Amino acid sequence: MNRPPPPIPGPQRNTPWRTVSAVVSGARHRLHQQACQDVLRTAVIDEHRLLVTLADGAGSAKYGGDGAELATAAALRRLAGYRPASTPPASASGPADDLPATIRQSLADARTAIEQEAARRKVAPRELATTLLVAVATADWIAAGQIGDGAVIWGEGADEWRTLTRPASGEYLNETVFVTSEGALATAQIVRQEGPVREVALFSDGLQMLALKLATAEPHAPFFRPLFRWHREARDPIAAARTLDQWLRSPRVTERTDDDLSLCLAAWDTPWPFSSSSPPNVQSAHDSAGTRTPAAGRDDSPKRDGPSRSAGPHKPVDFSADYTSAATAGCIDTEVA
Amino acid sequence: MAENIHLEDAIEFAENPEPRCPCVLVLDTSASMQGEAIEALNQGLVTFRENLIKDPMASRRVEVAVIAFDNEIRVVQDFITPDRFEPPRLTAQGQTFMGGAIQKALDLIQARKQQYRANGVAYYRPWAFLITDGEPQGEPESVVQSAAQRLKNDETAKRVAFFAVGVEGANMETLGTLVVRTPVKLHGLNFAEMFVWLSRSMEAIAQSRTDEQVALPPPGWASV
Repeated sequence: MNRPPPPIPGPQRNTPWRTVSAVVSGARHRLHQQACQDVLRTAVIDEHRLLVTLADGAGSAKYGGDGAELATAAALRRLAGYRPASTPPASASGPADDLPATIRQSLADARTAIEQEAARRKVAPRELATTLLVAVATADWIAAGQIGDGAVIWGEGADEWRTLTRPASGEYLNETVFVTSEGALATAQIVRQEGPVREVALFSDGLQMLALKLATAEPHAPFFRPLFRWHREARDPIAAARTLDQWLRSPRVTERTDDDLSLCLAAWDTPWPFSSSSPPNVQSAHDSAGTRTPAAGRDDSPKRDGPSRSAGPHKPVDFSADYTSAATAGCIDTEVA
Repeated sequence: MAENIHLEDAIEFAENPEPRCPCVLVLDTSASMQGEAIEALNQGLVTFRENLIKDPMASRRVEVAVIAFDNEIRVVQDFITPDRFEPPRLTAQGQTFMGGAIQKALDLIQARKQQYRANGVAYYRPWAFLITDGEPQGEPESVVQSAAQRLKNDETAKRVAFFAVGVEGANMETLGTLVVRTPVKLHGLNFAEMFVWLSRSMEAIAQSRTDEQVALPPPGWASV
């Protein structure tokens, strides 16, 4: 397969959030020349609100990867529009706050986007079936929404982590809920926790057997401890993304899972050390009115569509001016140079 | 120093039990199977094992059980992973207690799921695969009827995916009234190809993820 150069998940600039992401296609998908169907997007708003959306397109769906693209983009757009109440809520029962409603709406937007695209292509929405995880985090609180498997975990910086949203599966391991499933929105997990929030991770189902104790769905600390320590000590965001990518391809990991793998790590208060000569990676179009316009018709992130991904005319996510920075990770099928 | 942390050595994985993918073979060993048919079936079981152990994930996750039925219904092999599965040498004799065999298969699956749950083992939807060259024979009609009814309920509740394969001489019409999914007819005694297909299907299930039953690709070894 002759793919375009892989997009490297871009580091977030001008924010205390340090993120690193990697998305790799599973051994089985490569064997069968299937396109990777995981898509991960990150953004930081107002320099301190971290947004992550992660979708894992269903292998059983013809356009699962396209569904994942649409779902992550639509959800991120909604989350980016969220503004906390002027008084930060002190507790879950604190001042009225529409964050859970925004999370729910972001999941609904994802579903709508898929339904509209399915109608345009004249296929059933389940041909674009995908799971979806979304998270919004500040140093003081974190909220997440989830349909399907994968998980969102977080920690207060004490080398302990907790599960915020967990894999939702039915009786059978391979039967999960998708954004397009009946009742998906009604049964979606939507959780909000007060911090302090120091570490956040999102991952798709390919990693959940390794990262979670499945009986309780709690994070396996010996998995995350070295990972976050490495993450905090890394010096170079590009090298870190490459290291994470290579680790996800290492034999010890691929022996245990041959699914697509996505992982996003975020740590508060450890900004990446950017040199002043670093090129900006903000993809933006000015829009002070709050209505969103496409990024000047220009999407400078490399195309993620693989040869087996159908060529739908996707609108790029309109990264508006109020993004501190934004990045997307599709599958990286070739070695990072 | 950051790059000094070698992720591959440092990170420990959660110790979760391997998920299981149970598959029950329900095999007709009545007198009419004597000769070539039973030989081909025995050879097919060997092929089945050989193919499963070739796939590392399938050899850890698939669990095979074998029920043989004639005038008796015997669990020839309780659930076992392919590496430890020793294909039995079946012999053919007697009548065709198919209703009782279906009940036994559903019992076996139900019990296995309870064991999985008790031990925190995740699992895939169990498959049962009935192979016959005849129709129910020698059992009270009520036994057959209640088996068919239970199978309908179990399929509706997604407790099992139950497939039926008719060998030459099988009463396909009767089979169609017993099982929910349309039975397929084996071409000749092409058990080898059928079992290759079955092992591939089990491998696919052990990888796949879906919110509905995996669709069967049209098998080359059979016709509807």
